[in-house]
Amino acid sequence: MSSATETAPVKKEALGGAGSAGLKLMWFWDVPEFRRGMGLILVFGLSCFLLLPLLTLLLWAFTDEWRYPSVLPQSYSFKWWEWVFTNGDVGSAVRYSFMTAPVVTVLAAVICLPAAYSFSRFQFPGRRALFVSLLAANAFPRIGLYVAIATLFFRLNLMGTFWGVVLIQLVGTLVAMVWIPAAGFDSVSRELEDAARDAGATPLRVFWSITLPLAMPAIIVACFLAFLAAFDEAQGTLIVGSPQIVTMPVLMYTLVVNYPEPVGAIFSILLSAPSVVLLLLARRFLLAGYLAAGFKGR
Amino acid sequence: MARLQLEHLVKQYGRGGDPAVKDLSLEVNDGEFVCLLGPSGCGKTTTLRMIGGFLKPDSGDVRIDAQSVVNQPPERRPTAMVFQRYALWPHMTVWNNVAFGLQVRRRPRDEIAQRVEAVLELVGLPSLGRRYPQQLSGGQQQRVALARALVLEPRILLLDEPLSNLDAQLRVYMRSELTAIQRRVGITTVFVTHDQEEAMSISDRIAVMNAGVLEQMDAPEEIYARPATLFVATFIGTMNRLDATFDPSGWLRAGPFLLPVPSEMRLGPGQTVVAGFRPEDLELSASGEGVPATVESDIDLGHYRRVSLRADAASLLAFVPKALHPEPLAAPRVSPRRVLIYADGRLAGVIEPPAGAGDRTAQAVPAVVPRQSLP
Repeated sequence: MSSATETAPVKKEALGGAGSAGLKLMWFWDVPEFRRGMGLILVFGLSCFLLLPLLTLLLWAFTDEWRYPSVLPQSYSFKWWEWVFTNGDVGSAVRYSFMTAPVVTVLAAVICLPAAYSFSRFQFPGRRALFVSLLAANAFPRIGLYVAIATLFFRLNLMGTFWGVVLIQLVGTLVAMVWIPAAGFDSVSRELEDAARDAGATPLRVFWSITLPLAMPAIIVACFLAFLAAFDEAQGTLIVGSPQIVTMPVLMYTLVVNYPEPVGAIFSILLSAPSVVLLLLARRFLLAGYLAAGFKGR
Repeated sequence: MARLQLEHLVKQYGRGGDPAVKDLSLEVNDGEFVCLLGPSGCGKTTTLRMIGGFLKPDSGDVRIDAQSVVNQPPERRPTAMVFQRYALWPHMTVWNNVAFGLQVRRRPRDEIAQRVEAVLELVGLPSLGRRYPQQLSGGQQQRVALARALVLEPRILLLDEPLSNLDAQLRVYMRSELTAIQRRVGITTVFVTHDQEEAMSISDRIAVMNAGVLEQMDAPEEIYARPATLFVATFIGTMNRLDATFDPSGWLRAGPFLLPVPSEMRLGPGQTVVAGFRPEDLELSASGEGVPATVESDIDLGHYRRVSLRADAASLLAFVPKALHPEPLAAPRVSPRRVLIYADGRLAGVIEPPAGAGDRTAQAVPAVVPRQSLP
C-alpha cells in the first residue's frame, strides 16, 4: 500500500523529466519580472544602437580637439560651422540640392499620380506585371543601372547637366510615388464615389471633390518620400552630375575624405535636417483630424 | 409626383451563367413605398442599382413619369440613393455632405443654407451640421445619409438596406422614423431589404424577388394571406407544407388530412399538388373534429404557444393563442382552417373556412373530414 503511493509521484517526475530538464536551462523565462524587463532591455538596446551614433555625430560637430583615449572631446568650438557655412562648394551644393529635389518631386507626381490612379481604378492587360515591374530599378545594384544610363546620357548630351541629374534622381522615386498613392486611391471606396455621382457630380467633379481629397494623405506622404529619395541620392548624381553639378550628398564624399571629422559631422546634420522636418510634417498630416479618419474609416 | 416603371429588365454579370435579373417588370405608383424583398443574391440590389443608374441593364427600360432614363448616368437621373453603409464623405462635415449636391448644381448660397437647415431639421439633426460623419452614431449617420438624399428633392428615393447596419432596437425605431419622413415628404420610394418583418411593417406594397424573378407584388397583408407562389409562401412567415394528391373519391389527400377541392381548381386524378397552411390556421381541440396528433414540443412564447405536432407521418407546426388553450393539450385533434393549394409552385386555389367561422372559438373547417370517418 505504502510503496504504491510512493512510486506514483516518482513516475510522474520521470515522465515529465526529459522536457523539464531542457527547460531548466531557460528557467528565467518563467520569471515575470524578467519578461517585463526584457522589453525595457530591448528598447534600451535599440535606442543605444540608433541614438549613440547620432550623439557622437553631434559631439563631433562641436569638437575642436578630441584625441583617442578620452571619452569626451578635450575642447569645443564653432569654428568648423563657420568654415562650412562660408565654404563656396557647400553653398553651391545646398543650392543644387534644393533645386533638383523639388523639381524631381513635382515631375514624379506629374508622371506617377495618373499611373497610380490607373493602377487603382482600371483593369487593363498587363496591369499586375506593370505594377510589379516598377520594382525593377531596385532589383539589382543601382550603380550598374546608373553606368548604363550614363552611357546613354553621353549621347544625349545630358551628362553634367541639371536635367540629367533630375532624370537620374527620378529613377529612385518611381516606386514610392506609384505604390503609395495607388494604395491611397484603393482606400477610397467605390460607394463614396457612387454617392457623389448620385448627388449630381460628373465623374471629373467626383475625382476632385471626393477621390483626390481622400487620397491626399497618401499622396503627401509619397511626395515627402520622393523628395527625400531625391535629396539623399548620391550614386547616380555623382556619375551623371559631377563635376558640374554637385549636390549635398555628393559633396559629402569629398568632405569626409578630405577634411577633419567635424566637417563631415556638421554636413551630416545639415543633410538630415530636411528629413527630420518632413517626417514631423508627415506625422502631423497623418494625424490631422479628417485625414486620419479617411484612413481609418474603412 | 413620380411614377416608376421597370419594363422587362435583364441584367447579366459576366458571360454565361444565370442572369442576376431576368425579365423584371414592375410599377411603383406616385408616393408609394415599395420594398424589394428577397434572399441575398435574388437580384434586388442589382435592380435598385439599375434604377439609380449605377448599372446599365442588358435590355429593358427604366421609366420615370413615362420618360425613359435608361441611358442617363446617375448624376442626370431624378433619383437619390441611400447606401447600405451610408457612404458619407469622411472629409466633409455633415453640413457639407448635405450641401454637396446643391453646390454641384450651383444653387445660390442662401438657398443652399436654407434647404440644408430645413432638411437637417426634417431628419431630426438640426444642431449637428458642424460635426464630421465619424463623430456621429450609426443612427445619426443614417439620418445624414437620408438628408443628403432628400435635400435634392428627387422624384424617386432609393434605399439599399439602409437599416441593416443598425442594432435591433434602433432599427425598429428608425423604421418608423423613415416611414414618418417618407409620408411627410410624400416621395415615391423603393426600399431594398432581406428582412421580411421590415418589409411587412413599412411598405405599401412588397415585391418579392427570387433568383432574378419577380415572384409577387402586392400589399403586405395580401402577400401573407395569398402568397402567389410556393417560394413566397415559405419565404414570408412560416408555412406548413404537405404534398397532396387528388383522390379518385373527389377529395385531396394531404398527409393525414382529406380536403375538399376548391371550386376554381381543375385537377386530374393522381395529380400532385402542395397544400400549405399557416401555423396559426391549424386548429387544435381536445376532442371532436380533426385528426389525432401527438405533441412533440410545446414552447411558451408569451402571448402564444409554439406547438410541434406529428399526425401520421407529417410533422406540423401550430401557433396556439393562450387565450384559447391556456394549458398544453396532451393528445389534441388537429385540422387546418384555411388551406392554400399550389400546383406547379403557383397558387391554384384556396380552401376558405366557411362564413361565420371567423372567430377563433368556432369549429374547424367542417369540410375537412378526418380520414377515419370516411367510408
